[in-house]
Amino acid sequence: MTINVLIVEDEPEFLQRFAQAVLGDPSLRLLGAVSTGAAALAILGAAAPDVLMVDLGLPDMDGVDLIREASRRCPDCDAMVVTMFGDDGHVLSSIEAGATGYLLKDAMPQQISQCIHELRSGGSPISPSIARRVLARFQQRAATPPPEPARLPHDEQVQLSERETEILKLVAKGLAFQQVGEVLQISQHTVVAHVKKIYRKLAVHSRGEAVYEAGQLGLL
Amino acid sequence: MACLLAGCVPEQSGNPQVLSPRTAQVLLSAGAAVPADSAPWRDTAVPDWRPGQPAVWYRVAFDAPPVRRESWAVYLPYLYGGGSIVLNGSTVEHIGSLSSGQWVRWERPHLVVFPEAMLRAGGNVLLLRAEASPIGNNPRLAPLRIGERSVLQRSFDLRHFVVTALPQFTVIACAAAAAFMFFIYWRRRSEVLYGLFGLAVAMWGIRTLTFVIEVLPSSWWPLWRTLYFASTGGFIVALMMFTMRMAGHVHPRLEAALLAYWALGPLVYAVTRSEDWLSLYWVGGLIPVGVALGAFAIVAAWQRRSAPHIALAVSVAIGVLCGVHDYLLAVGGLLHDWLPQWAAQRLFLLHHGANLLLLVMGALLAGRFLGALRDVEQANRTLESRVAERERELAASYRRLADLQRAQAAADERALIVRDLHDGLGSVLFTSLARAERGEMAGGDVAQMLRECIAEMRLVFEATPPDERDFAGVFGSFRFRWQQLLQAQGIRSEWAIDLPAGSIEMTPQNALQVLRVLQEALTNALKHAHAASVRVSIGRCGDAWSLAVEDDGTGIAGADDASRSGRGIGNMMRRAQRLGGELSVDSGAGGPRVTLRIPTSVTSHAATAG
Repeated sequence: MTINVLIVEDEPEFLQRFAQAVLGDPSLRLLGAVSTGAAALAILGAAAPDVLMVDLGLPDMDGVDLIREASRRCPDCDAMVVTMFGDDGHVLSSIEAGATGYLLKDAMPQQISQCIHELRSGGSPISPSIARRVLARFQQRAATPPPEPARLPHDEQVQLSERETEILKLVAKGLAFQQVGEVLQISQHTVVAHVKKIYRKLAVHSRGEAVYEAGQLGLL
Repeated sequence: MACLLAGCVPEQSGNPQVLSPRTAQVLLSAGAAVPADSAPWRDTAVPDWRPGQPAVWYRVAFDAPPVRRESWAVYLPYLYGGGSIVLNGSTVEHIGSLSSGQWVRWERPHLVVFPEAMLRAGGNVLLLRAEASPIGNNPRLAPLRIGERSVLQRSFDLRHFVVTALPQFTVIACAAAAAFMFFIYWRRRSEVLYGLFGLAVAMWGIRTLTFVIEVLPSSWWPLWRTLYFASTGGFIVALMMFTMRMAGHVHPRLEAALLAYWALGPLVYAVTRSEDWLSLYWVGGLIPVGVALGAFAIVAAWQRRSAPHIALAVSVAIGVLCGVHDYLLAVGGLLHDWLPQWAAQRLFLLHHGANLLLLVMGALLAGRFLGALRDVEQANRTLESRVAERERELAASYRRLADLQRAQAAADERALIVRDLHDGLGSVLFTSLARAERGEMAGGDVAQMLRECIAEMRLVFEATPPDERDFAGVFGSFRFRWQQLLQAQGIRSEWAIDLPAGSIEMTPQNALQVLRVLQEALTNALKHAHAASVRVSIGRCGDAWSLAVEDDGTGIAGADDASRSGRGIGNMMRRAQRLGGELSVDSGAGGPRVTLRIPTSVTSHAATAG
């Protein structure tokens, strides 16, 4: 089954590099390679990509907004944020907006297609620094519960499980999924599934937080 | 006051039910027995006084109407030495006198009601025995009035209020005011004015007390009179000193002279027991003091022209006039010639004039006190505004200081970044530039060089996370990246990390140096040693941390690019030294091993300089 990929990258060099990587893999199909958010939205209106690769520094809009819009329009689409260092705050915002993976900008062509395949098969990468941030996010959340829990019962359920917390702590130490699985005596697939769930919780958590913020601001 | 006194002036004519006899008869006999009509009575006028006599009898004839609306009485404005009242031969009243074994000085008026049965319609004869009082030694016949009791009661009440009740009030008020003033002076010795005023008030109270207490055991009398003279002199002297000081004049010699004059009176009395001399000369000598006081107050009022000083001058003038009046009344002469009717009433005014003066002075002191309070409040406000001003200045200088500190911190940060660039990215770029210009770099080498640069950048990001001081977290990112890198190159990696959370805390700069050493060692293993597996270990070793990279490759000696590797080792050595640690390269179990040792003194706190 071919995977349809839409690339949004404003630097021509990298646009070409990513496009080459996709084109070089027969199991991937390049749905489009555009350099603006507007063009990406236009394509999203006409077709549903399986994977969306987004550079955050687009000339006409914030990549995080594009990811949010894409995950709203086609929930089955995996958004992947392109980052230079893999640990900046934008990655976390992108995950909260609905992204399920990230790609280092200097990745080799075969690494790029490998990342896409891993993402499609359910595996989201997570770096130690992102794991640390996620832990901090949920801990902060637990420490200061919202003053009106009755109003947001849905949001209250968004908590990391004990196992998820353990996994994040091990990832933060720099352990790969396989090593995490060994330490916790679970299979690597289980670890991957947990991480995927963490990603989803983060997105829900972020939406809950937005609702909470909006409630605080009197918008609801 | 004027209308008060007017009430005491006897009616010349008018109500036929009240008589004001103008003539009487006198009998110069000290005998206590009621004298007969045949005794040698002599005509005299009312009022009358008989100096030098211990006691005299007066005889007043009057007609009472046959029909009377109410009881009749006799009203005597004064009967200082006491005595007896006899109507138509029967004694109606005996008023305590010297002869009854006490010392008396009745300031109060007397109202004696005639029993109905004794009063005859038509001609009646009233006999009055007047005894000398201890002061003045003169039996006196007051301008008496005879008639309806209710009418006389009014005159009696009025005079009683003026000469008896008011002094009683004065004594109590003076005691309270003096206690208050002395308390203030006691707590604040510098406030001499309060002390002097308290003294004046106390003296006045004591002097008034000698009028309020009219009957004394005989033995107390000399003491009582001494007290009277002491308080009279003390009052005048204290007032004089108060007025001078109030006007801002302090003359110690004059004050000493005044105090000496004050002491003279009671001393002379205690020695000589001679009232006459004292009353005439010493009390007379106080009059110039009082006049000087008045003059002083008037001059001060003229100079200052302020309401308080004018009020003081007016009240002092009134007081002095009252004093002069009383003196003239007491010694006889002038006043009796000019105003016989008034003088006959014998109303001493200084009691009331002095009360007025003390009231004005008390008000002045209160005004000064309030003024001082206002000044304090004003001073407080000024002080508060100054403090606020200083606070603003202080806040501004703190802000400047904070700005400077921020600027300094930024400069320090910049210096670190420059050193980092010089150490890391810079050195790679410059070395590569030199090699590329010599034509020694192929396309692949350039890509490799650039990847090294990116790796260096990643390292900096890893080592300086905004939210992490724990080296375990920093190392996690490093391990994650290198694990992927080594895996991509097909090199097995083993990580033996015994690094509990929080066990190593370092500044970002130190962490960066440590990671650079590790990165250099791993790069060597990756590029030059043809290794198949790498082992990274971190662990505590005594009082140092040991970080080692070991591979199963050819080692540095056998590397195909020995000079570069040598430079790499030199770099690692320098960094280790800068950290305060040491670097060793040896052969491990499988191959070459690079070991970095850092003393725990460096890793135990985050504040170590980088």
